[in-house]
Parts: sequence; structure tokens; C-alpha cells
Amino acid sequence: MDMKLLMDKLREGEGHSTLMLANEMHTTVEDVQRTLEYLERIGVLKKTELGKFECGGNCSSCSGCSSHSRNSGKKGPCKGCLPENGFNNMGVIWEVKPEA
Amino acid sequence: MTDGKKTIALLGQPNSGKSTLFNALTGLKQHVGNWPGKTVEKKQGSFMRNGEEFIVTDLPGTYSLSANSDEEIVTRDYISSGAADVVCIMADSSQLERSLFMLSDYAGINVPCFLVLNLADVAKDQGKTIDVSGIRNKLKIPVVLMDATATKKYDDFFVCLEEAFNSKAKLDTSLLENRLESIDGYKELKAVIPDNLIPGCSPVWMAVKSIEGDKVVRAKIENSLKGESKTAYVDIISKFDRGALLTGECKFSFIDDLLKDSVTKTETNIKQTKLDRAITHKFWGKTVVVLLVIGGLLLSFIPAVPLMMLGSVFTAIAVPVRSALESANASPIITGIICDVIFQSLANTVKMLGFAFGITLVFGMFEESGIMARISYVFDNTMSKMGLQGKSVMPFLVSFGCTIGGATSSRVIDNWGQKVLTIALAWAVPCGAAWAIIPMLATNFFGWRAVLVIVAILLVMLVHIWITAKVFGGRLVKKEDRYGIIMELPPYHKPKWGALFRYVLGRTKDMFFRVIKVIIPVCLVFWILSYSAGSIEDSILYKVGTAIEPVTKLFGLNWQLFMAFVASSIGKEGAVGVLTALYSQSGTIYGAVNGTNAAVANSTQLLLSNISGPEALAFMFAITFNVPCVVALAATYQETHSAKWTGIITAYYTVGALIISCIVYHIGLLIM
Repeated sequence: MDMKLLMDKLREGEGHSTLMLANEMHTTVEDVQRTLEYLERIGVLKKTELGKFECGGNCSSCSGCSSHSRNSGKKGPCKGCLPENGFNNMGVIWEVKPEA
Repeated sequence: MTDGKKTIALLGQPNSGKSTLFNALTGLKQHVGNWPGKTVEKKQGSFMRNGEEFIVTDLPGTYSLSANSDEEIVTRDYISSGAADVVCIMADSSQLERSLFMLSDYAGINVPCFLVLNLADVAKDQGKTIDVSGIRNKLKIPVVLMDATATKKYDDFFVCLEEAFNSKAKLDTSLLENRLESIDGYKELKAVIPDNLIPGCSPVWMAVKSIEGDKVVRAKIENSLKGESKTAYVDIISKFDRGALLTGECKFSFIDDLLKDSVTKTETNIKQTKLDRAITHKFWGKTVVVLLVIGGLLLSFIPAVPLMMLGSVFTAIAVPVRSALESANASPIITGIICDVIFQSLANTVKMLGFAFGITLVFGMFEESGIMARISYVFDNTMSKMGLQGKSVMPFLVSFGCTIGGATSSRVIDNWGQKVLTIALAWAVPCGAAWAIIPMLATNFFGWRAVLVIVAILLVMLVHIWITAKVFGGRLVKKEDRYGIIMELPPYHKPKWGALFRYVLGRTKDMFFRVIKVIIPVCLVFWILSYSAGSIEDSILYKVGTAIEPVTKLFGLNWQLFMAFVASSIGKEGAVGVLTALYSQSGTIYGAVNGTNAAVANSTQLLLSNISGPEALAFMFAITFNVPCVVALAATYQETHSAKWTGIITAYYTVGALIISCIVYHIGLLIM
């Protein structure tokens, strides 16, 4: 897979799914996935799991968070903020790091 | 060789099965410590085989042999030190395209090695057939296919191990070099690097690491070379920009060449489902998504109905309670506070919770099932055009639940301008409280046509976001800050209902306490301000209200609705508190306006008889697009660290809400 071409595509600002990218670049989804992982490892891309957004668990306006913190002594989101372990099926986003 | 003992190093990526193999070989004969000067765990053990003792070192699980982390430095220093007689490179057979990357990174290191293709059972289950001899012939090293967990089937492994020790075979780099030679400057670079300049490493390996920009390798080579060689080396490597992209491509191509004709698998082409084809369609995608959201909102009305009915129970109970209090000659103030403030607040809160429950459940289902990921994907291009990163999806989605969370989750956006813009746009997304209040009011005023109101609000939200991006985007985001994204869409699957319901109930419970904390005090304050024992003209609120009404009417809001609009800046629930106070049965404001006090049965009918359709519509839009709440304002300041931008956004939304209200009112006059 031509990684420079992939980077150029990303810099154009268009959004792609891994499947769409595999079709456009005449390769397989596995190839796209391993390339994305590699680019993340060398610091070119940043990976974000969408469902894992942070809730500090200290929302002053959320009775759930404050009572959760009080009862368990642990800081973290209450059931009212996020399902257990966050949303598990929200997909993964890969984007170019600004400095890359 | 250490004291006549043979030493093996286990090398592989995380989850390649190194530890399983290490434990199976060494059993209890192992000890754990740290690598000298590092906090990286060092595991060594031993085993006996045919009267010989073997020392096994389990190297840290790493993805490559670059110098990106302590683990990688420890690993490659150990290998190049020659401490191991043989390196056992492990790869996961179920995903060889990925896991052989370590092998490709090892190519060029002059230490004898052999390859273990672990997890053979998983690969078999996937329908893969692996031709070990084909791979072996290409690499010229011993290769074994095995399952490290099947400890009683290690015969092939030991045969391979013995062969590696006897043959001292080194990995043949010719297949990789065929690919590397396509890189401009590679051959010249390799030519200026002498063999064994770094012990254990060939010019191929050093050239690859130099191209990748490995600082440690570059420094060692530069310090060792002299004269023209050094100048040539420095000159060549200075031409490589992002060389890791070039070598990465070569390594993956090498892996593909290696696996070609050696691995066959049942064809499992991933194809898009019909829904995915529709959602990701260039032209129809957005329409399909909008229809999905509308469908979801309609669905959310179903669980809301029982709670709406439960809310009415509180209104019904207030009637006999009022009679009882009046019969007992209770003070009118006490009667008013109990029946109008407490009972009506409870009734409205419970009705709102119905919608909060329904919408949280439906959106939770979307999120868990994978639909929400597709919705995010469809709108990514639109966001990119607004100058936002793909990650801005997250604050938007969170803002559907709570704007405070939306502002907080913008923390993942690194660029300050994009972060401020994301928060500014996330304010336009109606929060959970709005999704509770608006459907309740819309249902009261417009019956089944409440759905149309919701759809209109969603459309206005999109236009609002677009205009706001245009207004602020130019000042906050530079064109060069805008990049595209790649999204790995998750497979569809059934939500985990237990976890989802716990979340929905938790959120509804939280919403109840949050709403009640706002509604009752606001309702009480406005009820007191509107109460007058004598003439209505004496009440403070009436005086202020009638004074400002000529202005508020410009926005399609009578003064009572305007007061509710102002209260919605504290929290959307505040608006309901004001309406409850001003349109309660014994409220003197209502009496003053209508000349009667007991003509209608409950507050809903009072609202209907006092507020026209266009006014109600204008009011709903005004509070939806008003400042979300004071806590959201504080969260915005906390995230942006800018009082100036927090002030600008607040003023923009306050003025914007009134303009929208004015437009909607006049449209309402035309269509109703």
C-alpha cells in the first residue's frame, strides 16, 4: 500500500472508511488496518476509540458521579454518564497528527 | 553459549504467545528481574533437553526493533550483544500479515534464528492453510507451525530448535532487499556502511534504520565513519523525509511476497451490508441518516407515554389535596406552594423524564449497535468542511446527553482553535434536558405534530451549526489545520441490554434529581414574585413583565415566556419551573390575565388557553438554542481558558436564540 498516497488522501480532508479505502487503493481491509497500525506506531497517525470518551467522574452537577465517588471512594463515571466500560461499538478514528 | 549452556531469546510482538512458550519450556525454573538500568521486566528460565541445559530469555513484547521505547532498546541491544545463540522469532499464524512485521524488522541482524508460527489452531479455524516449507525456502531458516498451548505436542518445535543450533542459519534478506532497492538512495547508503559496524548488524539493517531516522543507529554510524564515507552517509540520509513510510511499505510488501503461495485461506471478502451501502452513499447517505434519527426519535416517544401518564397522576392528586387544604382553612400561600409549586413541579419533571428515558435508550441502542458510528462517519466530511477534526464527532454526540460533557470531551482535540470551535458548535446541539422539555411541551401544544417540531429543531440545529462554523471558523481554524480521517466502522451487533438499561435508568435517575433541584427553587421564586394578596398590579413580576413586554413581543414571546427563556439560561429545566409558577391554578398572574382562576382543570390546559401556537413554537426554539446552562458555561471557560471566547459564545447564543425565536414566530403566524 502506498503510504504517501494514503497520507495525501488524509491531508485532502476527506473522510474514509477502512473498507472504502481498501477498495480505492485496490487492496484488502487487513492491509489497510496493518498500515494504519504501523503509521500510528511511527507517530504519524493518532488513533481514537470513539466510545471511550472521558468522563472524569467529578461532574459537580451530576448526582450520580458524586454519590458514586462518595460510596465507592473511587473517581470515575457513574452509570448515568456512561455504560459500564463505555460504549463498545462506536468505531475507531485515525487521523493525521498535526505535527506529522 | 554461556558456560556450555545454549541460550535462546524469544522475540515477538505482544500476544504472539511468547510467554506461553516460555512458561511451557521453563516451567518453574524461571526468575523475574529488571534489565540493568531500566524498569523493563527481564524474564529468564532454563530447561533440560537430551542432557543439555538451555537458557531461555523472554524478551519484552514489542512491535519492532526501533528505538522508540525502553522495551525496544533493551530488546535490540540484547540481540545485537550476541548474548543469545539463537533467536526464536514468534508470529501469530492467525494474522501473519501483521505479526510478521517483527521478522521483517529483524531481517539483516546476523544472529541465527528460527521462526515459530504460533496459534496454528486459530489459523486452522479461520480456514487458513500454511505451507511451512514454502516460507522456510524463502527465508532459509527453520520454521515450525505450532500451538504453544498444546504442551504435549512440542516435538516439531524441538526438531526446529535443534536444527537452528546446528545450522546457525541466518535470515536471508534477499527477498526484502528486492523491495528495498526500489527506494532511491538505498543502494548508495548500503554501500557506504561497512559490515559489522554495529556488532551483529548487517549493512542492510543499518541502512534501513538510517532511512527510518533511527537516531541511535545514525549516531553510531556517523561516529564510526570517517572522511568521504561519512560525508556521503550524511548527504544520503539527509534526503530522506519520512523514510519510515518507504521502509514500512517495503516490509509489508516483503511479508506479502513471503506469504504469496504459502498461505491460502477461504475467501472471506468483507462486503458492505445493504444498510452500510445506503448510509455511506455519497448522495443518499445523509438522507438515510436523518431518517434513521427521526425514526429513533419517534421510537423514543413509545417509552415516554407511560411516564407522561404517571406525571398526570401528580396533577390529579393535587386536586383533592387542594380541596382538603381549603376545607381545613389552610393558608392560601401554603396551599399554593404545595399544590402549584411542589405537585406541578413533580408532574412536569416526571413527564420530562419519560422523554429523557426514551431518547437515552434509543441513542444508547444506536451507539451500542454500531449505527451511531455510521452517523458520525456520514457527517465527517461536513465537519471537515467546517474546519473540524473527525474527533469533534465525540463532543457533539456527548452533547446530545449533556453540553457539560460535550465541552469536557473536547479535551481530546489538540488544536486550541478547533477545540473552541467544537465547543461553540456543540452548544447548538440540544442537550438531554432540552430533549426532555421540548417533546413534552410540543406534545402538549401540538399533539402528534410534535414530531414535526422535533424534526424542525433538528434541521435548525444543522443550519445553526453551519452558520456558527462560518461565523467563528475563519478566526479560530486555519485551513492547514484541517485533516481527513479514516474510520474503522465497527460490525453491527446486538446491544448488551443489561448494561444499556442500567445506564439508561442511571441517567434517568440522575436527570430526575438534577431537574427537580432546578425546577422547584425556580418555580418557588417565580411563584412568590408573582403572588399578590391584593391587586395583581402590586406583584413585582407583573410590573416588570408588563414593562418589558413591548420588547419581548418582538421575539414572539409574551413576558411570561420571556421570563421562562431567561430562566432557561440557568438550566433548561428552569423554564418549566417558571411556566409552572406562572400558569398554576391559583397563580394570580393567570387570574389577572384571564379574569378567572378556576376555569380550567390543570396547568397544561392553562398553557394551551394562554399561549398561542406561534408563541409556543417560538418559545420552544428560543429555549432550545439558548445558552445550555450556567455549568456548561463554566465548563466552556475551563476547557478554552478564555473568558473572551466564553463571553463571545454566550452572547452569540443569547442573541441567536432570540433571532431564531422571532423568525419561528413569524413563520408560525403564517402557517397556523
